[in-house]
Amino acid sequence: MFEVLIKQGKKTTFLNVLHAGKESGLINEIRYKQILKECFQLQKEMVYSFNRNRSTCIKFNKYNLIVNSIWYTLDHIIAKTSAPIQLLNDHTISQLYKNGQHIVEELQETLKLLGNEAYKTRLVSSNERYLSILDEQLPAFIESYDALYNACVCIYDFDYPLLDGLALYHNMYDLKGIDMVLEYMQRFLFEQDFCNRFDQEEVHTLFYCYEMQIGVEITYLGVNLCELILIQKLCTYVVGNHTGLLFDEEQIGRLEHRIKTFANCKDIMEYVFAMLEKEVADDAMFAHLVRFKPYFLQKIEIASSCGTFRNLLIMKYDCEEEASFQMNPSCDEDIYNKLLGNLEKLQTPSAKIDCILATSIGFYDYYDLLESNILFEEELYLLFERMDFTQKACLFYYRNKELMTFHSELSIKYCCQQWHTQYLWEEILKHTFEHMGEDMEGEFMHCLHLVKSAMKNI
Amino acid sequence: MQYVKRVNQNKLVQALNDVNTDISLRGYFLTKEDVNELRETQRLACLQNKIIEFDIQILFLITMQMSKSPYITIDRFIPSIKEMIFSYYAIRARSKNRLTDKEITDILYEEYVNRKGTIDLYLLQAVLRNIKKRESGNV
Repeated sequence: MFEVLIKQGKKTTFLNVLHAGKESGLINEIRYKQILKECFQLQKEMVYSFNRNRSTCIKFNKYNLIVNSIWYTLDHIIAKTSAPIQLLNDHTISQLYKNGQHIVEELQETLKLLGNEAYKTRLVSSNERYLSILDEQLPAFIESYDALYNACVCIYDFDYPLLDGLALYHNMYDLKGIDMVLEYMQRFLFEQDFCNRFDQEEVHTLFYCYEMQIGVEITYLGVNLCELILIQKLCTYVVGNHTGLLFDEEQIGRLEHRIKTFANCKDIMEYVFAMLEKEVADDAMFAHLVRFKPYFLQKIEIASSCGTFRNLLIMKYDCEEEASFQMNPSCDEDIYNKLLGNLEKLQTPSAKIDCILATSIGFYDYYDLLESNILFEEELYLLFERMDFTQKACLFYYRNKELMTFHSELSIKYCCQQWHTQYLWEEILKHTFEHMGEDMEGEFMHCLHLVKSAMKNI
Repeated sequence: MQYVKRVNQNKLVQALNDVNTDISLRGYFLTKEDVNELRETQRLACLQNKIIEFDIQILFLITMQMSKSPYITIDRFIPSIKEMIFSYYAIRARSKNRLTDKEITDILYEEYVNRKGTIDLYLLQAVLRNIKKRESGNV
């Protein structure tokens, strides 16, 4: 019977089997009518129980949900058996429905187990969508799933993309209700297990370097975490004797050289996936990882034709420089008051500026000082002229924090255009940036990056 | 789509006899043709309000209620029942399923008597207000 349905391009659902059975004569006319009658009786019972026997009528959309739930439950029992026609001839519909309910309950239990496992082995990451699946969407789905009256519906869209993209792009895997969620969670767990095979500290460093490389925190990006690791891993196979996931300039050069030795990108893809299969040694997991093949091929093709492996791969980020860079948020109140007292006594602008720069005050103190309007225009020009890049970068970052959150490449010009100045000192500071030389800009940007990462830790 | 599901004929005859013994005391009588006419009305009302009905018991419930009405004459008996059927399903479509059929027909009849036998939009509004009050207390 299954073969007949597959030939006709139909799914093996309860209704399809019933109609196919009638057409082929395996279910006789009397039994067919009886089955329809039993189905109607079941619908009636379900509607009455939904209404808690208060009413004999029901709204059309609710009725549809109940009927679809009944077909959904019966589909499960049909899908499980090898002789569906015999099942329909031998058992009453209410018996089949009860058995189907057991299967759906088992699926619910399986989903709970998968959920627990996924929760226990979760990755340390701040990816908002990833956390939303584990903390919000899955528990809420398990709790709110109504197998009796609303079995086909899943109100959560499970929007953390897997290796082959969002479930939505695959028409929710042509599945409904709990089946869809189970399929999604199984794939989700394969990816999570794959990520857990690596040293967690290394993975954490990888995510950190990725954040630093593209200039956006991983929290805001709906990226697939497994994809980040998998691309690195696959490229390490090409390089050969390479330990660790991160790449540096030398290894990128070696990678480019090795890629030239292959005839085309498809060969590279086949080679790396064959290596991956050996290492993974888990057929089910590898079957899922293989879904990434076309995407990987596309990425490799683009990177090799444009020579943009530095953008495709995550490079080692120099954390030592950052660690050596420390900022002082604010100084003691006494020091600041003493500075204010000194400034009152001094007369010439240059003496005042010398006094300010000589006192080691924190960057928040600079804002206080500037916003209190103690300094005149001439003095402000002099101050910004003598300030070093780090101090200027602090002031710049503080005023343009929001602009710099989502821009991978910071541009002083763009920030200056968007900068709505409120105070005189801001206008002067903006003026100094606008007239900054191109050679200075590179050095300033470096300082700005350091300030940006240092500010996060404060 | 079948908005009113089929009903067992024996049960229908039995229910009709029961209703007739009740309403004949007040001088009314329902024939089989009348019942068919009411069922057609029920079908239209369900279609209009997108409701699926599994039983025709509600027709007899409304008939019994309306036979008590002091505001109808014998020639307005069936048309009044039809109007009430439309009102009943309009209310069902606009309220939650927290009250029983009997409770809703009771409220409907109560408001109908309060409004001196007029069946219009204001009657529906009054019934819906009443139902909402009860539902909020009945949760």
